[in-house]
Amino acid sequence: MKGIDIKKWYHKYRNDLKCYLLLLVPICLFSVFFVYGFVRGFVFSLLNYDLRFVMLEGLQFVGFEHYAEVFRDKDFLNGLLHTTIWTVVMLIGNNGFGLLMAVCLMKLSRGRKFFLAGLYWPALVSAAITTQITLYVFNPTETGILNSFLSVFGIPPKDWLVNEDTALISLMVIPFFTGFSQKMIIFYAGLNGIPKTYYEAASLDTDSGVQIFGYITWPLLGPVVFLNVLLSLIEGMKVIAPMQLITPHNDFTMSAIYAMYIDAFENTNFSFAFAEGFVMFVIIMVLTVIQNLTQKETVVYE
Amino acid sequence: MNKVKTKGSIGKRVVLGLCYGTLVLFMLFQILPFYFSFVESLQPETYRPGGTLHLLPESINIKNYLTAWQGSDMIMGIVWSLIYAGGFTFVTVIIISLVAYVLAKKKFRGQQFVFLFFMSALMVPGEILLVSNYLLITEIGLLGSPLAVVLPGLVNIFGIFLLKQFMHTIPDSVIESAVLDGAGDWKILTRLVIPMSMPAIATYCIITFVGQWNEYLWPQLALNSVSPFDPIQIKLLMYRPTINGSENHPYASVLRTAATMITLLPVLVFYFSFQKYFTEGINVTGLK
Amino acid sequence: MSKILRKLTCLILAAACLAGGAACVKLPEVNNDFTFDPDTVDPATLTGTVSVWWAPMDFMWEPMERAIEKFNKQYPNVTIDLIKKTRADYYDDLNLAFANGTAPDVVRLDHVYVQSLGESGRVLDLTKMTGGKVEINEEEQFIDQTWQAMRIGEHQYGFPLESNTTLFMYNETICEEVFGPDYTPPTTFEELCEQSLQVRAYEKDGENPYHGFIMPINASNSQHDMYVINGWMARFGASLLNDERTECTLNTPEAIEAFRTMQDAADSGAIEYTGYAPYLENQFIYDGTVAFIEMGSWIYNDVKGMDLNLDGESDIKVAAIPSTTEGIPGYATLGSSGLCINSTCKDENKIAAYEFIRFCATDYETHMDFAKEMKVFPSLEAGLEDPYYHEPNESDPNWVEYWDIFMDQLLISVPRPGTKFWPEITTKLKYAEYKLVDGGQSPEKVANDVTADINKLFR
Repeated sequence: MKGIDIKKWYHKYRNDLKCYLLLLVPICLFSVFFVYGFVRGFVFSLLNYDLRFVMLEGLQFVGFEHYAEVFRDKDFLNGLLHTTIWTVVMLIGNNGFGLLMAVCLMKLSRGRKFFLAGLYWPALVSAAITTQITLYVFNPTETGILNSFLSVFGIPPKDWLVNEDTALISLMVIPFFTGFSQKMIIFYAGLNGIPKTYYEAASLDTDSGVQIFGYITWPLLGPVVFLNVLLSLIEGMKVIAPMQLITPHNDFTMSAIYAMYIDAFENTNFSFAFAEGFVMFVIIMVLTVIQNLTQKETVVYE
Repeated sequence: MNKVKTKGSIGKRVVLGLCYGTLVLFMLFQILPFYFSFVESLQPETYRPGGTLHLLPESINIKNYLTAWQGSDMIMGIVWSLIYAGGFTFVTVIIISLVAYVLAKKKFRGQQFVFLFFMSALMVPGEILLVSNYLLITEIGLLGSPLAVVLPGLVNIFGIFLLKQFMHTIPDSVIESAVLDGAGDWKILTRLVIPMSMPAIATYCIITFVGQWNEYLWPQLALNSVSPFDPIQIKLLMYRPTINGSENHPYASVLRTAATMITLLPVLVFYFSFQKYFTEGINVTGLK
Repeated sequence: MSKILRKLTCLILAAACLAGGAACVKLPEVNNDFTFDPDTVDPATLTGTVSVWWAPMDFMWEPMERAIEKFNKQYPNVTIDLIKKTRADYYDDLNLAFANGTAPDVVRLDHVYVQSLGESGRVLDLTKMTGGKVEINEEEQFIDQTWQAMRIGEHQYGFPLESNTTLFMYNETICEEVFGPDYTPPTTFEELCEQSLQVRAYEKDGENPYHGFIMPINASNSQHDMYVINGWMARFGASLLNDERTECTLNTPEAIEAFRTMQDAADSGAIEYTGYAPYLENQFIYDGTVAFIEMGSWIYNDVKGMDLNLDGESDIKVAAIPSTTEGIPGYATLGSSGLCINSTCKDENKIAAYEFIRFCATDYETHMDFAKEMKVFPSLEAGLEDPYYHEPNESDPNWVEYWDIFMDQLLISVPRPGTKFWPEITTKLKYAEYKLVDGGQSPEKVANDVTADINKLFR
């Protein structure tokens, strides 16, 4: 009886075993560089691993003390505020203009490839280059491009990247122009995927472009919008590069992840930094779940 | 009847005009900062910024590019960036095709769990892992080695997601007939699935290649010091020419801008050569 | 059954992960109890390997390479491993490397960081290690403030290398144009404000082309702000922290007066605050549109080259910093960096590391090499007499006067109080400065807020 059992067991699980065998290397690599790192970081966050104190005090277990502290930390909360503003603005801006551009492209009969190529290339520009360009344009003295431009109209130079009111916005401008093209490409693909027959049928009923967009295009774009919004959400909440490279240590452009970076690398407070990171991860996860739930209803099936 | 037609066509022309207009306007906005940087990169040594907008350089000095090229050791930067970006893309393609195939086309217990397991990585801010990975790399003994630069990201979750979506559009019947013909998993993958996924793979390759080309934070940590293996972004960040001993001399700024332009050029060349894969590739990834 | 099994496997996996993760958390090995007697060291037979981190600026490599060569002549059996970092601000890298156990043995740091690391037990306490001999043998050679800058209480944490300070610089060409050929620089802050306003109001071709006095604010290089604030407070008899470095003292009447003066000057337009120190330098030096600034001697090269009216002489002159309070001179901040030994240095290399940093700091030729390369001052008292600073320079008639005035300012300079919370203190002060100057908050509120914020760190 036992012999037959083993054979049955083998046949039952053979497929599964093969699959896991195929996935062995990726899962191992992933576990080592992601899971292990994540777990180790989590363990750090339960200790007093702050290089300013731990060499003299020794390692101690502190439980979830750091997580409670995260919500009282002025810098992190300040960063969270700016990150939220950034995410909302970029989400609406990038997706709004991406969609607008894609719609414009669809209206063209000729020259689509030209405009597509001409509008997409900034998406490939690296953070280092975006930094140089932003510093150049928004240079607070008279030599900056924007200030020079304004001086033609007699407007005095403004300290864009330093001033409380304009700092965050100044950071957003160049990434906005490089960011909407990514969304544009995806919307364009989505728009292309809507069969022409739908439009032909609709044009029999109405001439209004707005109505066609509202009843046909928008619902059918559901999955594409979902994807773009999701990506924007995640990218936005993780933002750090502009803040770190262009306006370092600036309270008016602090981002949540940058606050975490500073705590880890400059204040050597590894435990607290990981707690901040973990909180961000949870926030992103919650946002993703919420988005998942709300958008499921708007997806139209053929 | 005629009246209705002319009314419609004028309206359509206006809309078309607006479309062209918006597109051109945005293209212009995007190019403008780069144009001004380009102008600055050509300025002569006697350049003083002053308070005016420079629409054209005072004189065209291509030698700025030569100076920046030599001064920042760009050639090695480009070589290593090519190695990192190319190698990374090649290896990740193999890995993600495999994972995407297994997750999309096969059924096994715990499939959902494995998928979520991989997807959760998308939501984690990469910076958390910087410290842990840095410690790990040192413990393995790879600190300072070019291998360390590419190792942590090899299981590229974004790629898995992309390819998996695409592979769902491959009809199961094709795979079933291959199985009936006696083909093993590996054969199916290499002879059938990968060729059929080429558009998605092409798109992924381009996005990943450029992404890895633009990386600066992790390479800087992994390489630990001025290294012969520095990729181009680090060379750009480190390039601080001094004129008469000062880094803030306007001509030094001109040279840095020239270096920035040099860093940008390969990406543009790459993009415009493979451009059709971008625009058409996205089309075919079945994102409907 | 399978559902429970699934949950169980998940839990077991999670627990295993955590256990594995916990097992791997360890601190780098240090031994802070090592001691030796420096008087018994024999250079010829001393062995050891010392790794040194050094900054990436080209002009800094050669002096270091020369130093190593000379050192090896005296200590032939010690190997110095010079590592060049990719960024000048390698303090972040140092922290990670320390956690890793891959920190170098010797590193050159700004004195505030040396003090900060000393407080945290991350760099070796030289007093303890040498049984107090480091003070007996070495202290006298150095300028007082520079030695104190590497020290907390009775513990010396490093040897100072170069030192510098800021000075009042003015554009003589602009000033003579606005005030006439008999112009003399201001000696009090009130005079400075008056002159600054006059320069700003000066009309030429229907425009006001000149700026008066500029100070940095919310600068991208945070340390720049700290230089300014530290010196500013000293001029009013206030200080950032108390002597024991356990409390912030920015809410004393003197400090509030300091904040108030800063705000009044900004409101009246006498001081213009602008961000981005590099652009400040550009405006001052290359555009020739700024009349007054406080700057360090390291921009000598730019200063010398600045000759917009082409009269063969630099437009820029230096003077002592105007005094803001009756009876208190115009103090400026001491800038100084030095060499220290990380506590992860292995015991067998500790003596070699100590001898190396002692050599770099006390060997006259080497020490002066570093200072001259960067166009700053040495920390060795003897170095102040060096002919370099006193002999006329053919290509620059102002050379001797330049260094003379700087030296006077250096000898009354005030170090910043380094502490392990220094990076966080910097950010909070930056923000406070902004709130004061641009945000319109009252000096009392700013002072009390920032003091409360900083004191939270010390809890």
